[in-house]
Parts: sequence; C-alpha cells; structure tokens
Amino acid sequence: MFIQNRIGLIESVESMLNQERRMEQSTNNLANVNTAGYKKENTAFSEMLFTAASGGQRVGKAIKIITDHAQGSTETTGNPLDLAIAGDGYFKIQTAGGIRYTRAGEFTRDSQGQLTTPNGDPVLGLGGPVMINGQNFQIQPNGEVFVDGQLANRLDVVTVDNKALLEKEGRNLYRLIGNGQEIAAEQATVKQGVVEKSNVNTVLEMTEMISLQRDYEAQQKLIRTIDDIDVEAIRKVGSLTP
Amino acid sequence: MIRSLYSARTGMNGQQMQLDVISNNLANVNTAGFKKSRVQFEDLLYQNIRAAGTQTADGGQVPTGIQVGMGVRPTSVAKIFTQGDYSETGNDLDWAIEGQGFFQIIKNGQEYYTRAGAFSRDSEGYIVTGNGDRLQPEFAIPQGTTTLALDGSGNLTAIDSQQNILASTQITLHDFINPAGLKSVGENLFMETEASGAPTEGTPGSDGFGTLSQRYVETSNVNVTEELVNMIITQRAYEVNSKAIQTSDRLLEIANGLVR
Repeated sequence: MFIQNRIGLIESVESMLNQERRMEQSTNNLANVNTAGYKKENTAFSEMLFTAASGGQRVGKAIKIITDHAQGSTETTGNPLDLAIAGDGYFKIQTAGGIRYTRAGEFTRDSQGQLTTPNGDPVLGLGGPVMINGQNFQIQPNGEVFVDGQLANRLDVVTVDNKALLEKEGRNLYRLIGNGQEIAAEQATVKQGVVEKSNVNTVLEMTEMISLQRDYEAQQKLIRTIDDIDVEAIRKVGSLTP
Repeated sequence: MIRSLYSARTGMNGQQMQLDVISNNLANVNTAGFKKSRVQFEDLLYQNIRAAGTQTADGGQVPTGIQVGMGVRPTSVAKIFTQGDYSETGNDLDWAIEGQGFFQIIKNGQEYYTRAGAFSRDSEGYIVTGNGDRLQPEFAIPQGTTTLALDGSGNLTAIDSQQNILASTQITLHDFINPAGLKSVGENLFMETEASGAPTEGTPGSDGFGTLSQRYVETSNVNVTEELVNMIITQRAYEVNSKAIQTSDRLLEIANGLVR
C-alpha cells in the first residue's frame, strides 16, 4: 500500500512535468504561427520501461516530440525573391556552422547580388552560391535560375532519408545529425513569388491546451488524494485511541 | 512552464511588430512611390532536453529527441519593391518610372533616392521634390516655358509658345543590386547602405532601367485587402499567444494548489 502510493506519486509528478513540456511545445507552435516554413511539433506519449538503480522495474510514461513535416499553406506574394517548395524538399544554406536546410523561402539579395536568407547566409545552387546580378530573373519549377534570360545556376533542392535526424536549430534552419543522408528531392518543385506559411493549426493547439490543462489538473488531484491517504494512514495508525 | 510564458511573450511581441508594419503600410496607401514592408519571422533557439540518436541506459537508441523551442523573433522588415499602380494626374512634372530605377535627390549635401516622381519647381525654376530638394542632375526650367515634354527615355525639353526649344536635358535613373537593402529615411526617400550596394546610373529604357511616363504618378504598392487580411491574421495570432500565457498561468496556479 505504502509502496504503491509512492509509485503513484512519482507517476503523477512525471505526468505533470510531461504536461508542462506539452504546454511548452504548444506555446512554441503558437508563437510561430506566422513564421514562414515553420513545422509544428507534436507531442506523443508512450509507455517506457524504467529500470531503477536497485534493479526494480516500473512501466512509466515517456514523452516523444515529433516534428510534423506536412506542407504548410502557401501565400502568393508576387515578390520574385520569395520561393516556396511544393513537395518534399529543402533549400541548402551555407552558414558559418556548415550546411543547413530550410523551407523558409523569404530570401533577399546582398550587395553582391547573392541570394541569401534574411540573416545573410547564402542559398546554395548546384554551381555554388546563387548569384542574381541582373534586373530580371526567373526561377523555374525545377530550380533553374535564369538571370536576364541566361541560365545562371540551379537551386540545390534536396531532402533527407530520415526526417527524424533533421534537427531544428532555430533561425528557420535544420541540421542533419547522426548518420542522416542527403538524397535527391524528386518530388519537389520550386514556386517563385510564393511563401510557404507555417503548418501550425491554431484550433488544434487550443484544444491541445485545454486538454493538457485538464490532464494537469487531474494529476494534481491524484497527488492530493495520495497525500490525503497518507495523512489518514498516519493519523489512524499513529493514534492509540481510535 | 516559465519557458512557455516567455515563448508566448515573444509571439505577442512579434505580432505587435507585424501590426506596426501593417499600420504603416495602410497609413501610406495614398503616398506616391511608397513601397510596402513585410516582417519576416524566424524561430528562436531550441533547447535540447534529450538529443536524438543518443544511447539509452539499456543500450538502445533514442529515436527522436526532445527539443523545446523558445519562441519567435522578427528577423527583418523587408521592403517589397513590386511595381505600384499608375494614376494619371495631367501635371507636366509628375513622372512615373515604369520598371526599375530611382530618381536621385540631393538634400543637405547628401544623396537620396526616390520613386515618388511628383515634382514641382522652386523660385529659381529648378525641379524639386515636394520638400524642395533638387532632382539630380539639376535642371532649371527657363522663363517663358509653356510646354515641358518628357519622353520615355528621359529627354526633357522646355518649349515656349512659339514652339522654340529653350533648353533640354537628359533625366537619369539610378538602380541598386539589392533595393530591399535601402534604408528608408522618410519623406519618400531612400538612402544607400552597404546592403543595397552602390548605385549604378543609367538612361531610362536601357540596360534594364524602366521608362518614364509623364503626367503619371506611381501610387503606393500597398494592397488594402491584403493588409486587412494580414491584420486579422495578426490579431488572431496575438490572441492565441495571450491564451497560451493564460493557460501557463492556470497551470502554475494548479501547481501552487498542490501545497495546502
């Protein structure tokens, strides 16, 4: 009875902490509801076997965070420097820390005419950084960049073999970790003058917040109940005159 | 939990900035040559609570890590240099640029660039902006001019009532590799920056420069419907972020309720 109580307490506390993490994910999703190319994160719970140092085992709850790479809605802006990828693919960006991937195509040009992210990191093409030194330029669905009617470069649009190894770095960038491999993006087409919006659904996030708040509340009640049982036990067992 | 309070705050701040930019766009809907702006957002740093691919205690591998994002941040407010509409005014000194390019102005010895081609003349006959700053290269309209003719490639001729040519000049335009990098200084003027690159001078209608049309002004490129839709989106985004703060607060309240 006493031992079971303790496990209940541990599990309730774990659950409360997990709901807090869920809250943090939802908030981050909501904060990025207008961030171009943002991919929302879902939380999932699974059962996990915990092994204590003493050798005892217990089945508990583990949280998993899964980035939802579904396509976001697109908005036509008419700005020639806005590029969106339809289908599975990423733009390759050269940063000081190495190659990064992004779907946020709100690009700009620097003073040399290089196509860059708003942070100034160059966008890579098959022939190195994409230079746009001309008045008119078109980007074809296959990524070919035409400057003043001449083929100048081709955007290097790639994807990865395992999306789970694509880690978010902030600044709308992803980095490839572990043994993740870059592979050719066969399904991807580039659209010019279009921005991919974030794929956050506010309705889902709101219901997520309602549900996690209630779960949190329920776990709090559980902890208080366990506490009540303990109080009762201490009072009754400890008193000489019942 | 405190993290989610801060993330929601960054969300609200970002939306507020978006609203500021939308308001400025809407305020300038009738400003000649005005170019709308847009806020670009990026997600902030991620905190790795458990990295993917690391070994677990029993020799397995963590398939997906736990990363908690810290909210959002506006990266830049980019000017969108799409073409505005043209409106006919009938005024000889209203010039619209059809295509790329800027007029050059000198104000207090400093060069500025503008697309607002609604000029007038000062007491000495020079062509000036609404604020009295001279168009470069300077040109004084001679006394007795009855007609001022400007063709598409920038040849400006002053003609008197007897059809005699009193004076003529070539109006030039300037362009930048990256116009979005120009700095807005108000009064419809832009200033060269390191990000915009150095200006190149050219004749209208050649080398990619736009042509000039007399008696037209370029209106702002602000699309009211688009801005109003963005305003609704911004308001709702602000609202959901405030709800996230409310929920975080409620969770904290529940946690506080643990101790009686």
